[in-house]
Amino acid sequence: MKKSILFHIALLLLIAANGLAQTSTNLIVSPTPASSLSLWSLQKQTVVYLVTGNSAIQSEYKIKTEIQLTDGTVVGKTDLTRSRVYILKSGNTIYYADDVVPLDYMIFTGKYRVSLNTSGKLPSETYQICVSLVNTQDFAPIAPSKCKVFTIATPQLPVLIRPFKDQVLNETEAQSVITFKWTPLAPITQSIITYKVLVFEVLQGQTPMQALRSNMPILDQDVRSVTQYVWNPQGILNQNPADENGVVHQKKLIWTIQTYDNQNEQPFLDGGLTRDGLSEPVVFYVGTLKK
Amino acid sequence: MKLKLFTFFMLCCISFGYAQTRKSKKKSKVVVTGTMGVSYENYGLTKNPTGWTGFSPRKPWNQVRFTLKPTITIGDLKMPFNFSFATLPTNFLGPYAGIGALGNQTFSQFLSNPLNNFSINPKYKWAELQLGTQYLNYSDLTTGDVGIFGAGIDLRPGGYLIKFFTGTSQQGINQSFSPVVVGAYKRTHWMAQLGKEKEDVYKFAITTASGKDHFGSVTSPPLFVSPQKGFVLSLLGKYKLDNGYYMEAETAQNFFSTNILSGPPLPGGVHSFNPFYTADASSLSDFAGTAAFGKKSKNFDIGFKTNYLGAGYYTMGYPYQQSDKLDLTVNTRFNIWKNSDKTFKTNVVASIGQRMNNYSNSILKQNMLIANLNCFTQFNNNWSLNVNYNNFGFQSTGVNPYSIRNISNDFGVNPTYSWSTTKMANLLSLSYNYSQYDDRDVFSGITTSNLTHTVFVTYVPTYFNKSITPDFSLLYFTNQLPTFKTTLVTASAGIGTPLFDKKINLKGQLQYTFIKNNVFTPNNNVVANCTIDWKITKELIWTNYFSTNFYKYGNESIPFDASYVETNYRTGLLYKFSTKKQ
Repeated sequence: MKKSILFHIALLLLIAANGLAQTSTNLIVSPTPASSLSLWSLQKQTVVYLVTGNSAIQSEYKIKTEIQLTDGTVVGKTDLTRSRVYILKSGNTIYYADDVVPLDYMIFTGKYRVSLNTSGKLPSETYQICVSLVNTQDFAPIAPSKCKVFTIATPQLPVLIRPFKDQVLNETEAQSVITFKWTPLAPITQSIITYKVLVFEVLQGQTPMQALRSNMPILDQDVRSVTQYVWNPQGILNQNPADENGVVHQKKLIWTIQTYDNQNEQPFLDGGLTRDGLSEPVVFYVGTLKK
Repeated sequence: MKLKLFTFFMLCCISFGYAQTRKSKKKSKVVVTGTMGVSYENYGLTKNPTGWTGFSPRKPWNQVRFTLKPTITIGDLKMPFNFSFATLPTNFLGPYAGIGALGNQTFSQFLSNPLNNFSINPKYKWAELQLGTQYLNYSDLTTGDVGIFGAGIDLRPGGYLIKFFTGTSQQGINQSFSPVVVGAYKRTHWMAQLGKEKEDVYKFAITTASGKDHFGSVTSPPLFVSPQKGFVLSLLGKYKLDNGYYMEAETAQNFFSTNILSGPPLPGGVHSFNPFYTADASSLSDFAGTAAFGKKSKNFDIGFKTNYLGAGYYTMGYPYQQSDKLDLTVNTRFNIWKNSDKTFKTNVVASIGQRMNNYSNSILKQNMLIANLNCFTQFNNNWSLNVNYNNFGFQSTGVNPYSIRNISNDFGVNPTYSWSTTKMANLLSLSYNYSQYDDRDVFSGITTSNLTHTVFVTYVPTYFNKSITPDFSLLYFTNQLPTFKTTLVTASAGIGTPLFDKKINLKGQLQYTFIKNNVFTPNNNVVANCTIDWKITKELIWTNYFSTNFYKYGNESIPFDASYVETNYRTGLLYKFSTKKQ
């Protein structure tokens, strides 16, 4: 919420400042955007480009974007021959990543193209993005280029350590205490990350993934920054399931970590296919140990 | 009202089924066997002070579940049915998350909700028709985790494999801010497998799996979810030799669009794979492979396994599979120290593995070392000992703040002594576990240790002339961080006994836990639970479970001395039926 308010205040200040100039531009770029370029369009604060037009001038233009390395080498740029045409209007127009870094009109080179083809992500490095307005005939600049530096650090969602895959916990011991451990979200940031520890009971006849996607969690605990949680189940694991023949089975459970961003506003979008900040879940059992 | 009608219907079915079983025991060419049941679960939570938000409910307040699993057999034709469903959607994660708060689901949402199963799998010799909800595991790299409501075939003539299935794994769900529902696009799938298999000897197969989101399936599209599509093609081979050696491998190539609305493909981008996949601007294509080989025998196993998933390897059949990793594992099992009767006293199971996450990323690559050892020895009829050791190391390359280093070491020892007298047998088990977790702060460089000690004692007497089976246990647990210490002590006692000529099984348990955090006053917790299973007839069982949990906080929470009482009651009727002559 706080992040959103600051973002809108900054935007208003930019609009106010640009109102005084003629065909001027301003660029705001998140210093640490998501590594998946397709996520940039979902997170509006990633790239914001403000164009302030003069009502006396009515012309068409295109947005030219270059992504460079810190030494100035261009690794990606807009294909101006195909990119969209915009009409310069009076007042302020705000563009987001869909217009400034349009995936379908960007040309990347070398290993950057290969990386985008295989993973959809730019390699983890520091880059500079430069955006300018050009005319539609000879692509000559009609407003000066604005540049901003950003760093891509491909995140790794937490990996579950304990209980590990298919681990069988002693029944009576697990009814008192179970310790969950996981690796931190990497790279570590100075902001506080919230990990939601989630445990689901796999009911008779369910697959573990079915339980994860359909049941209410028997543990739903927010943990801030640390990567361990000591759980006292308080009786919720005290009955092992029996099948139709009355045979008692080990209780099957599936656990995962859902990582939230530093404002605890929404699940961490970057790092997984499902974009809900969920780590690869792990199945474990509570019951009599088999020697 | 619906709930009552459902319950009434199921009770009628159970009564009818019971009657039919009695009648049809005389003669029948059609054999019907299976189970049906209905269960009701109630959850209660009373907090003190009222309105205190420190503890949230852990179960739905009321839930009714139905199961109907008959199998109709007519000669070689078998028709297993599986109708299992619940009245209240409780989805917390995944595409249906929060749908319960929206009110009634549509019928198609109800059918494809992973909470419910509706399937019929008629099978005649080598041919199987698959209808309704199916969780089909074609291979480790293509599809296996997702339930799909649809139709398909599984044909195995002369050892050949011909499989095909198509259906819907999720319906379109509109996004909502209040109540919060993330929303989802309708997702359809198809999958196919062709190959040859001889069970426990070899298998060769080519597998394809495809999934696609339908953008037009919702009127209020999900805000943070893009419509996706994917296609994967894999080759799989397995072979097992008579002398115990085995080998298996799978290699797969995927095509995946992270946003099907992203426009036409880019020059130099991913190409289409016609007619199965049409590329777009957000298309990815990557590779994955698994391989394993080893030897299995009665007293010695050894195996090697590797698993690689490229950074862009995604498949809709395993939505939570982590990509961009390389796993290498060696595991073994062996028996040593022979007894006089040529059996072995000691069984050892061990594995060591390395996992690299962010594998394609030279700056942020992470290495994990995982080692496990478990050694069990049965010294004689009285003594046994189990020792285990687990090591886990996690390290990422690069300089701060990217350089993370965590090491976990766990060591456990568990001696068990059992002895008998003329009246009873006794089992006494002691377990001690030491755990150390070192975590280096990437900014300060300071390593902190997290130490855990667990001591656990169990005593189980078994009387030869009495039917009661008591058990007692005591646990001491302490977790020490630099600025925080938790101590937990649990005492537990249980008893079980059959009643009324073994028609009723009664089990009860009482558990008290004392928890102390730092210098705060202790938390106290009492749990009592009871199970009563009544075998009304040979076919009909009535199960009951009662549990109550009282928890009183110390002064570490605000308000001081807050408390809550949880109650949980489950009751269910399970009926087994068969028209087959006994």
